[in-house]
Amino acid sequence: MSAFNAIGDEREIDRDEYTPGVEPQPTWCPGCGDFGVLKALKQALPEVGKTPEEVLTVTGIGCSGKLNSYLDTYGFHTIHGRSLPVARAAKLANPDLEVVAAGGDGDGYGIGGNHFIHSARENHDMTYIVFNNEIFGLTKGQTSPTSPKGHKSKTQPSGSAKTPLRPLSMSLNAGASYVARTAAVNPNQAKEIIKEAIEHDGFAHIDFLTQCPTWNKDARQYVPYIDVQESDDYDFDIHDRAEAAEMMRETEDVLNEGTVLTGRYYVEEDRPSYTQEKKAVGELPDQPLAERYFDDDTEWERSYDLLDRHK
Amino acid sequence: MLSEAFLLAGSKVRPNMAEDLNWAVGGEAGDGIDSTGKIFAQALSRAGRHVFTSKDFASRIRGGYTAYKIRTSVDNIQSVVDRLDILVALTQRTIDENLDELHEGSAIIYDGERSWEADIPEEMSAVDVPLKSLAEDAGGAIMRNIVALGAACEITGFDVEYLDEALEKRFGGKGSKIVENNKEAARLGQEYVEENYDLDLGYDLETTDNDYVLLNGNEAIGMGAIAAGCRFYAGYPITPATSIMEYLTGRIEEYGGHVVQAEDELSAINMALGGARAGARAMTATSGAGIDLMTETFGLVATSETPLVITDVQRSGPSTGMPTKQEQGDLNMALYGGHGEIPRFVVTPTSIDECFWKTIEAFNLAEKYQTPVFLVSDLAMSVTEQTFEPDAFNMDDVEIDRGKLVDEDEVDEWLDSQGRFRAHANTEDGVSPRAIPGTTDGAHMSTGLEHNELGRRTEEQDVRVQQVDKRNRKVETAKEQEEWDYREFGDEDADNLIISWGSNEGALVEALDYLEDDGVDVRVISVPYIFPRPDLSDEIAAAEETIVVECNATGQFADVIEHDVLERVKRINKYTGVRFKADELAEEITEKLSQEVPA
Ligand SMILES: Cc1ncc(C[n+]2csc(CCOP(=O)(O)OP(=O)(O)O)c2C)c(N)n1
Ligand code: SF4
Ligand SMILES: [Mg+2]
Repeated sequence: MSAFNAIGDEREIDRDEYTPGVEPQPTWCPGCGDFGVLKALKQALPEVGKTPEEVLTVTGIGCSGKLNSYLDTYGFHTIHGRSLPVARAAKLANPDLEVVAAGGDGDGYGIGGNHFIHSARENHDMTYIVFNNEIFGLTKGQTSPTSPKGHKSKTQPSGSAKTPLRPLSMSLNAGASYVARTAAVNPNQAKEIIKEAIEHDGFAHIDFLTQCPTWNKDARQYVPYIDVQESDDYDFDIHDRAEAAEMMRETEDVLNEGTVLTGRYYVEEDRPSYTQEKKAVGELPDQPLAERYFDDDTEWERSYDLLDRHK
Repeated sequence: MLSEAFLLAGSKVRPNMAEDLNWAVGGEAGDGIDSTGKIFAQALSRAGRHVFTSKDFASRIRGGYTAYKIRTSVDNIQSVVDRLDILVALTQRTIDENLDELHEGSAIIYDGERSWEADIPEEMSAVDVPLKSLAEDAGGAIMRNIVALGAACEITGFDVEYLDEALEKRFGGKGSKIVENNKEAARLGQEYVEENYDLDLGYDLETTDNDYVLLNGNEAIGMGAIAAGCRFYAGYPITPATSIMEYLTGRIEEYGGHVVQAEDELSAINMALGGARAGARAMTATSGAGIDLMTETFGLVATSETPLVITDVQRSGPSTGMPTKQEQGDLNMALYGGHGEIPRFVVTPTSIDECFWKTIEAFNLAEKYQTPVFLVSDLAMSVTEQTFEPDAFNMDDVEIDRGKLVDEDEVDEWLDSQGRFRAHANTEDGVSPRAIPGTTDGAHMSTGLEHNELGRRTEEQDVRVQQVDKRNRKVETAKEQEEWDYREFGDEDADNLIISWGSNEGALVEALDYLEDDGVDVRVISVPYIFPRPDLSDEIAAAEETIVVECNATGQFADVIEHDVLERVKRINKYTGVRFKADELAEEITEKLSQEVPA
């Protein structure tokens, strides 16, 4: 039994429980892809048996960062780019929590890029959803790390000179153990992928294509989309790193030509998570750090022997 | 500037010189200087003698002069002085670097068989010991420093047997053969000097039955953190803060805690924040450029009302500055760092034992008031090993107060009419309840955006004002409920008042002796809290002269004091990268007292 009574609660969960009484209506623009992420997440969480109070959602700054304002869980809206360190530490302190981090492409692949690489490398057991709209939405349409080459914006009036970052390949190379891409326009696939990501034991990264009709003037609605698992045109093994890498490259290449490929790209099931690695070497206790001394009446362990070592 | 006459009269020829010994070992970085010094310090401590150490070092691991200095006495000591009596010199540079501190009674131990020819001032005793050959006789050249320690024992009349326990502690893990060889090496050094030299420098180091503990400021902070219940630490290596992380690693786990090495300081502080939000007592520590990166997160810690201890072990700046040198240059950063207005506490331990207690206090303040607490120490304290009575760290006196943490039963008292948890409830004392993720009915949003009681973002003017006032009210509550006392030394009724913060306290306390000898009456106030801080108006008004002493160039604390009392104070600032020494400080104070107060 956890000291935190919501954890492991087996009761029936109603989807509406995830809709907060305040701010039930998101303030995203009409037609914004961000609605799709919220909807898929609200469906996925009860289906994996999580109550709102055993979930912690940590977001960065951007339109995407508003996700947890519209979701009734324990929510923490942090700083631009910093959702991952906060989220993965919360998971370390209490591995019984379901931790979901989310943010934009600028947030996660730009200003927070270093944290993304290292969180994936360390394989923390958590889900990371990147709302990839290929633009800075909140700040009104500047070029983002995933904006296509040649994309024109107020900050790049003659078109971006930079080739877009490859989110899937970067994730794979950094060490994520679950990598998928889905799109707001494909709610069923999105929900299923989120469920798989949550249930995956390790760092699960979802590059979530979210159209921004307001600022991304080249905005595609990411339709038609193709599910690489369902289409007969693609055949690769998601457990094979080399095949996954090749499929990711192709997916990233064709997106800018207008072909939207989605699906699961890489799954590594038996790679131990950071928590498992640390527990195995005795550096992380079985009892969650956060539970220690949570109870007010607990006798604090006195550290006498620490002093003895200085004699 | 220090007068030559004072140095000679005031310090180098002190009457109790034979009892108050200043010893050093120096050489190239990578020569094992640090561990050699530590072994000798430990032996002295085991012999019931007080020890106060200091280090001269370059930031390079290999190459560059480095020295480990020990001052030892049967009396309590808490400062370094400008005098060196026995020097183990592995290089000529070690001698050259210390010419100012050496005097006619000094003895220099060196290895005449090494390729360099020692150039030692005539008036000093040159003790040539074949360190390397004797070490080889004992089992390996690597033990040459231990041979030197044996030689030092003979010169100082210190029983070589006291080294044994320290050698066991240092090498015990490597097997009994290694320990025995080292003991033998020490004896060969001791015997060589006994047989070949007839020195009478007057040393006969007294020993006592006292049982001391020997530790440095960073170890005291680490030990304080564990004692305070810290169970999550995130950091990124940087001198001189790293040793806190290294201390915790391997120890905190025994108490069910964990240490993470983050990818950078941006991550380190945000990880500590994440751990704290999930319910663990959490801390990060850094220095120099690391605190700059962390500054980004100070505001989020405060607005989200999360308890966090942020330790800054100051080093010389700005930029990369002098990474291994002393400075107290971060006071303004601790007080004002970050955009916007951030309610915070700034705690500045004034001695190594206080590093332990103030760390515990920092954790309690953080949780009681749910805001960042800056624990600001400095390089000098972080590398100095000092002896204490074990009672100075009495674990039974440690108290833990987790503030308004609420569990599933208490949550109900804090729900609004629609059953939503008021994580930022506008209370009278400003402190709101804190529910940890996983608690039924406690779910809430928290954000760096301005928010209402529920943690939901808002820009409504009245709510904004209410929340800003509420957060600031916590500081007002703390001002009333907590003690923000200063520490006091010297003569309470003296006309001359010296104010200091942080690690200068020890040097000032010892400077009092020198000043007393010279007939100068002084009252010393040592301030361990910079925000909130004790009101010193009455003390300053009562004094004829006030001097603020600090290790920085611009007088950051003096500025704060002048602002508080609307009066000019005198200043003593040192920014050479070296801490204050008791004797030089006494001289500077005397000189300053005779000068005009600046307009
Ligand atoms: C340190 C910092 N720099 C800049 C900003 C301004 N800013 C807010 S959101 C954002 C970019 C948002 O783009 P993205 O992360 O892709 O999120 P989106 O709005 O598209 O969902 C920027 C630059 C900030 N909040 N913090
Ligand atoms: S600006 Fe774009 S990303 Fe932001 S809410 Fe509007 S449509 Fe969505
Ligand atoms: Mg974006």
